[in-house]
Amino acid sequence: MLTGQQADAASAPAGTIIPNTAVIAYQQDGKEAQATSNTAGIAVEEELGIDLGWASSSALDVPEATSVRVPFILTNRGNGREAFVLDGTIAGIDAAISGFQLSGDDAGAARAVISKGGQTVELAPGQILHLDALVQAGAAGRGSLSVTAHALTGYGQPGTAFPQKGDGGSTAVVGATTAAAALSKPLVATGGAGAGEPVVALTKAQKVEAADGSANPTHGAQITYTLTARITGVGSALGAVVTDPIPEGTDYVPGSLTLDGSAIADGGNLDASGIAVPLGDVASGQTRTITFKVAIR
Amino acid sequence: MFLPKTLIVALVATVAAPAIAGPVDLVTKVLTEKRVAAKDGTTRVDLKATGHAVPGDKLVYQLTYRNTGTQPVKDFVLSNPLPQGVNYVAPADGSPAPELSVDGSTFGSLAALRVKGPDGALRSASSDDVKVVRWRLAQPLAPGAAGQVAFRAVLR
Repeated sequence: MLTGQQADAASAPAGTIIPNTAVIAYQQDGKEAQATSNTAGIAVEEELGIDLGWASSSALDVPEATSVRVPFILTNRGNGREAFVLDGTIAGIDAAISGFQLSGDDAGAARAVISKGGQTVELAPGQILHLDALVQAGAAGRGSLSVTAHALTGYGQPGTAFPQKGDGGSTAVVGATTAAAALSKPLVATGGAGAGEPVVALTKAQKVEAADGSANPTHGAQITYTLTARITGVGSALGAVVTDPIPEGTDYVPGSLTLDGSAIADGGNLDASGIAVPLGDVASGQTRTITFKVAIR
Repeated sequence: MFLPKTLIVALVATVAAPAIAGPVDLVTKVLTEKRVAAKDGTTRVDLKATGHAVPGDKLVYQLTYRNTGTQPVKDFVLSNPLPQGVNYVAPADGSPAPELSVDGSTFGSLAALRVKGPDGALRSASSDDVKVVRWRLAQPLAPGAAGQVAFRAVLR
């Protein structure tokens, strides 16, 4: 963000006049004399400038259906007193910015929420504001958060002038920063249980079929188990393996394993105690269904 | 020792006392540099007496002196304390180089000047450290004669 010459607290203040006076000393007839010049003044115009940055570089993981404060820092890089207009957008995810608020140390009396398109208090040259974007996340998902700000007096190409709009009736001139800035960072809203992690939910159903066509769990009857693995949250379940022991008093029915409706080999999908089906990496939002059969002894 | 510029002004004003209204006239003028793109692709620098500037703008201070009396005068020392908010850059085109001072009392070239840093150690002065510029004119100024010196500066 640091480009070219920027005004700040050390700059000549907008709306003031800087006087210059020179003195000349000389000898005449052996005596010292001096003359003082007129005063030549130069009026300082208001330079409009801004610096905008996130207060933290960390990723933004928000539990779904909750609100969170996203801190950022706004600096008046101009040489005049200036308010700044705040705005923001969220893309790609069900979430919204409800407004902005001074955070922590800067809170004090002015804690009123600044709505989107609203303006900050007037900042002195070089003054820094610590602000929070108030973000309300809806359903889980991934998107991005953008925050923008610009000088209230005006912004645009460096050199753009706003006559009489500066401090003390001076001309306000856009400086090297363009007096406008934007920030953006990824925003991830996660399912309630595992903020920032994938969550695997496993459900199990069973169906008994006896030789007589009934559902009586008698000798020789077969039980079909259906295991449904549902991956939610953020990211992928890496190297997931679905395991389920063969119940006491039953025997696995060889060749009965299926994955998502297709038969899979027993080899590699069984271990000493039961089934152990590797799923590989499964992205959030997907479902895997495993079935197998056992026979009641 | 750091001297506020206002104090330096006072010092300079008292060095040559007693002040006698004399036959030398001194006029200061401030101009702003405006870069103008010419049709042939080059950039021309125009000097304009706009009377206003934004931080970062280049300024030229012109000092014109004239002997309005009937006798020659000599041993000129022309001093210009840098105004608050203005940093010295260089002599202006066509002007003799001024002697520079970072404290209002010791004058020399920039390379010869030292300033004390925040840690107390001395470092080489930069043009931003200059507090006063001055010219000493060796030749007597005949009645009616005039001259001009000038320096470039930048608005902080």
